[in-house]
Amino acid sequence: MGNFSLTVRDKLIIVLINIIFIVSIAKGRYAVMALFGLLAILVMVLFKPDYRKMPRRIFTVFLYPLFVSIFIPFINPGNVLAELDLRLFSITITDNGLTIFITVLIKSFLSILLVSSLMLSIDEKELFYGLRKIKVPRIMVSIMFLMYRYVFLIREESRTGQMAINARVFKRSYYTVNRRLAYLMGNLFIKSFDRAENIYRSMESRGFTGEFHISGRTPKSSNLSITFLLTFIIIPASLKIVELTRIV
Amino acid sequence: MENTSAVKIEDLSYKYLSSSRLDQDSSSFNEVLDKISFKISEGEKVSIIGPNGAGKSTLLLNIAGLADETYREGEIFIYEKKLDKKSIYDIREDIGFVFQDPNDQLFSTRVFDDVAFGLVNFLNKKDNSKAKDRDYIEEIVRISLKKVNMSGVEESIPHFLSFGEKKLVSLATVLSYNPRILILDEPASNLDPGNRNNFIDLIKNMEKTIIVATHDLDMAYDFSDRCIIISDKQIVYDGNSSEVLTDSKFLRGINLDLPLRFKE
Repeated sequence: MGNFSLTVRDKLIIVLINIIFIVSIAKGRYAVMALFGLLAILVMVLFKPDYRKMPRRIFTVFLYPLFVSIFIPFINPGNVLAELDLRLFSITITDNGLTIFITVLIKSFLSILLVSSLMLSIDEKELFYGLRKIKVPRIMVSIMFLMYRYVFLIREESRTGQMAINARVFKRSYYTVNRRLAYLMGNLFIKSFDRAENIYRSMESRGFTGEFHISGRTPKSSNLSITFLLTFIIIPASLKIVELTRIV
Repeated sequence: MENTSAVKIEDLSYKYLSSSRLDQDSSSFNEVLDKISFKISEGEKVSIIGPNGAGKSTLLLNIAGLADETYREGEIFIYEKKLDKKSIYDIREDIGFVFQDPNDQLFSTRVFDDVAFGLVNFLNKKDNSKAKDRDYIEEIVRISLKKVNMSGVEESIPHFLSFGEKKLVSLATVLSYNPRILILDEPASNLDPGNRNNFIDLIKNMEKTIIVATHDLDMAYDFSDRCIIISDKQIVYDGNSSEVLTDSKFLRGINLDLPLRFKE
């Protein structure tokens, strides 16, 4: 058990199934959400991610659903809990809106916790290998890989471009720097596209056909890992039944 | 050994879609190679030389089957096998292509993964059980890095290596699957004199067919017995390196110059 680790495929299946069940929880079922929360923590412990990086990763990603859902309490009909009169218009917070808001945040948090546990317990090549193992089409996996690389290419090219601007800006002003930065943005995408194409060529020249292989031995699904996989499919399914039958 | 043809090119022409126009009528293409033919025997070390924009890199990409076939005319044979869509995946195993910019070659988060990438792909293609043998892969990666004097960097992040180190690791990424032909695009560019000389010594002593595209005429003189000079889309010289690289009149006529060692 000490050296036991799940295969990437098993991890992906566990995460995807749990996320599907979490997303399908009805609004306001906090007890069920708490049970799914415990399950997510169990999954995290099982995946053995890099715990030091977890808080920052979760916080960074969590900002996105937080900002997207920030208006939910104000736009959903229901019993008014509070009202703020801003002369031109008034803002009302409804109980229904607040419930949906909290539900969305909890579901997002749990999903992010699961995905972060997965991402911080495998490297990117293992992830693409795992995606192919669960039969995600080859072309989609290649596109995902290139998009992932593209982010770093844009960052590298941006750094070089900014240095080139700074080297020739002799008087710093809003106009000189920002106008050049705007040019840089345009150039950046063309240059990064070129670089991405070269990287793809270099991969092709070394026998890449869209299939990602992990160098060396890949852990085989053992009876123990299959047991874990089934357990972590049966538990969320049971929790769903608990939710539907309103036991808690 | 010299009789086997490693690369044979017959009437190769190549054109690029012009960037100024996106409609694909005939006027929107730039021709970079015009009916060039040559043959490289197994074990030969050849430099491809030419001024900027002469089509050296395009020629290399075509030999490696990495250029878009749509814009190509003529035929390429690698070890007598015609290069086309069907044969390309078999032919690639015989060719190790080292790009001009090592950042294009190194895309993984660990040097180990980059060096193992080609090897694992080709082993898996052949359904070879060694593809799953971690010890075997590790050993080959270790040997490949040792060949380029970069032992012990397996766990390093490629991004943080120096440019010279990246160049050497790039070479290791193709040596790992032991291709019969090595193609190097500007291998000595941006290297300091020490690294440059080490790099030249390294490839010079390899018992492989090596094709190098370069502007560095000193390197061509040191490294190759044969030079193919491309200018204005065509081959203007194909022969002995030491003869052509001492002919200043000829070289200046095609916008090149004598190697630095022959300059007064």
